[in-house]
Amino acid sequence: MRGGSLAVTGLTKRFNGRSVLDELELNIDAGAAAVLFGASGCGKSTLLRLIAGFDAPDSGTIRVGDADVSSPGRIVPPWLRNVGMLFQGDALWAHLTIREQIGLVGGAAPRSLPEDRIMDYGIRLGIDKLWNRFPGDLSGGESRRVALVRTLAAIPTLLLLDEPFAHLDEDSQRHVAGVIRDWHTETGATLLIVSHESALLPNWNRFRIDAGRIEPKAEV
Amino acid sequence: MNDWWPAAARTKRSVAAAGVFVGLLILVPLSIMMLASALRESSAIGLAVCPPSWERLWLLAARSAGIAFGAATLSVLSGGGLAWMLLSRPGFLPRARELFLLPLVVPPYLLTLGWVAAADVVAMHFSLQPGLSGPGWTVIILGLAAAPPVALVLEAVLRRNLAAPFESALMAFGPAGAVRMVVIPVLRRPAAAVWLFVFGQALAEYGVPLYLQTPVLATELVSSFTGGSPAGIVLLSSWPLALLVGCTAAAWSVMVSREGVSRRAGERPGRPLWLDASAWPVGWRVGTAIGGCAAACGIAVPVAGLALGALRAGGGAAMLVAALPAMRTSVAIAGGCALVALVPALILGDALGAAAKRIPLMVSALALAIPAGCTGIAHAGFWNMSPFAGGEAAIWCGHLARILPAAWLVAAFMRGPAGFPPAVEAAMMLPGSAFRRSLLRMRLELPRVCAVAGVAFAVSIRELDISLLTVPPGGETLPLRLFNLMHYGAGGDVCRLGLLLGLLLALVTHIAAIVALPERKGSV
Repeated sequence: MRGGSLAVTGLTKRFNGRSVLDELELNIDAGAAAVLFGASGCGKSTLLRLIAGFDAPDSGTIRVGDADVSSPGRIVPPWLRNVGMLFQGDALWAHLTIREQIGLVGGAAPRSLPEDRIMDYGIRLGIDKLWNRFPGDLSGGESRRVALVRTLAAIPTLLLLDEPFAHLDEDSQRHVAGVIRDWHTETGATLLIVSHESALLPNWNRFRIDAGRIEPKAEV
Repeated sequence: MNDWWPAAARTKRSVAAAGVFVGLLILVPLSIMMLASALRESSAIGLAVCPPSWERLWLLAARSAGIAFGAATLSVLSGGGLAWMLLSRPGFLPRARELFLLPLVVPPYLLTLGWVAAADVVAMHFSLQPGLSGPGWTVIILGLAAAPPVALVLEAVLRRNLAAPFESALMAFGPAGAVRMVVIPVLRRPAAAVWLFVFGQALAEYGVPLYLQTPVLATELVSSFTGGSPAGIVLLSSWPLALLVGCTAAAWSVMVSREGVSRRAGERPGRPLWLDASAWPVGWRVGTAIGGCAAACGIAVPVAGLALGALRAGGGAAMLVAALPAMRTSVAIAGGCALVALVPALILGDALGAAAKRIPLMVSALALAIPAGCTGIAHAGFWNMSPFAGGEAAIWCGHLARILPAAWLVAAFMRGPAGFPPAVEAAMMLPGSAFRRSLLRMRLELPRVCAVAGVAFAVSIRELDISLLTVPPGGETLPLRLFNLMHYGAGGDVCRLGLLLGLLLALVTHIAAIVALPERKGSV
């Protein structure tokens, strides 16, 4: 089963009168993977938050698969979009153990990875000894990897990863990139990653945001 | 679902429903009573009870404004000193925070009782005339009661803003220059905002001036209603108080919106070297120490007074047992109202934080500024005209109308304009059962939920005016019983009862802090 396509049309978002995204157009085919990059403050995370449903655009439409999730007069809440997201902050739930939160996400999703596959990804990312810990006991890098495994436990139509390589050393970055690639191949979900480390994911479509728009040609 | 409002993380329908709910509770009884009276007055001249003369009105307004001015100034000056002392002793604050919140949750009339009991001990020792009264003591008691919470606010503002800018100014200009160029500009607006808040609260205060035999606008309002004037007439003739409180609320909302609703900022652990007392000029050290000691007296004197008063002879356990029904009623009303208020308060708080505009904030401030006496009179009159006359509808709805603005403002301030933390947003993405998603979100926002519920509970359980005006025949609440006992002069018993209420409120605050604050640690 493949993921759904992403079609962003004429997307504009302003903050305090300043245009962050300006008539932005972005299309990603169903099951494809793409990397989004650009200078700090150019609107990458804003675009992800608009796609996830945490902000409302000033104009423009967003389609995920066959569903119109954001258009003038219609904003679908985040939990009805079947979109997954790795947040820039790790967004771990401090009152649950790592096992509990991964189980909660996997159990709630309409489609999720089998438990042994989640364990496998956990082992590859070196968090297999952390299952019974709480987020308060983890280092920055461990939190990042746990947050990634929690996100990958569900298989949404579209997965958004905001800076998945942040706070990680070079070895860990390579491991994480390998896990993301394998997860994408295994699930066929559509994937959009915001990262400055686009060299870690060669052969994927690369889109650059500049002045609130996607540059005309995608780089491969 | 077409009406999702992402910034508030609520549906527009739920925000509208919450708005209608609070509008019905707060505005409808007030408007109906005033309209009915205005119409009746215009059709039947001479029916209305004569309003107070202009001369008396001016006297009351001037006295009210003077007391409120003095109390607000005293609270900001002494609270500022205490804030600086707290800032320079970061290890002390976490343990003392709940203690400094006590004057917020303990009713002011109870603090007055503590002051009076303490003054009596001193008077007996020095063979002086016992008892306290007059505007001066009203200013001192209201001002010092507000000082510790004010100190907490100012300390938080300083802690968030002082690090790098202050250190660079300190290097360039020395302590005196840094205070002039950084500390005072940083404190100016928040201090003005808390000054206005205390000013508004002191204007609307009823219990303390009444007990200290100092007639003000708020006591005039309640006494003219209990003296037999129709509710609508009393509300219409309360315009000077409404005008004063309304202007204060508007100015407060302007100050707060310029300052911005609370922003999350990293707090530095430990104490920077420059906060050492020895680094500061003698005048500054003396000033902050005097302010800090004065603010600490706002807690220490009434608590000591109550404790000393409790040692006096009285009815003993029988008095406490006799107060149990009133205590049960108060806890039931406060707990029930806090539960009912929780959902609309969180929804409106989210909407207010998301809108981040001055008008909604001003409307909220005006709703909060409606004196409890007006709310009580409006609900008493309104429900007396309905088939529910004599029932408990008036007291429940009156309490709800009173606590809701405070509850949703706390919800908005704790959310802030920066939006929700990523963990809450991640919970919002959880597909499947809406109940499980809501439960997870509530758990993640537990400090905020506890704060809103705690504020609602505390405001309700200490509320005297509304109890006095809306209590059904034969009913009694704890504030009402305490206040009546205070007037009958049952010294030892009422001190014991007051101490019990204070301890109960302190316990609730402490439990709320334990539940809300710490994170669980792992079992590896």
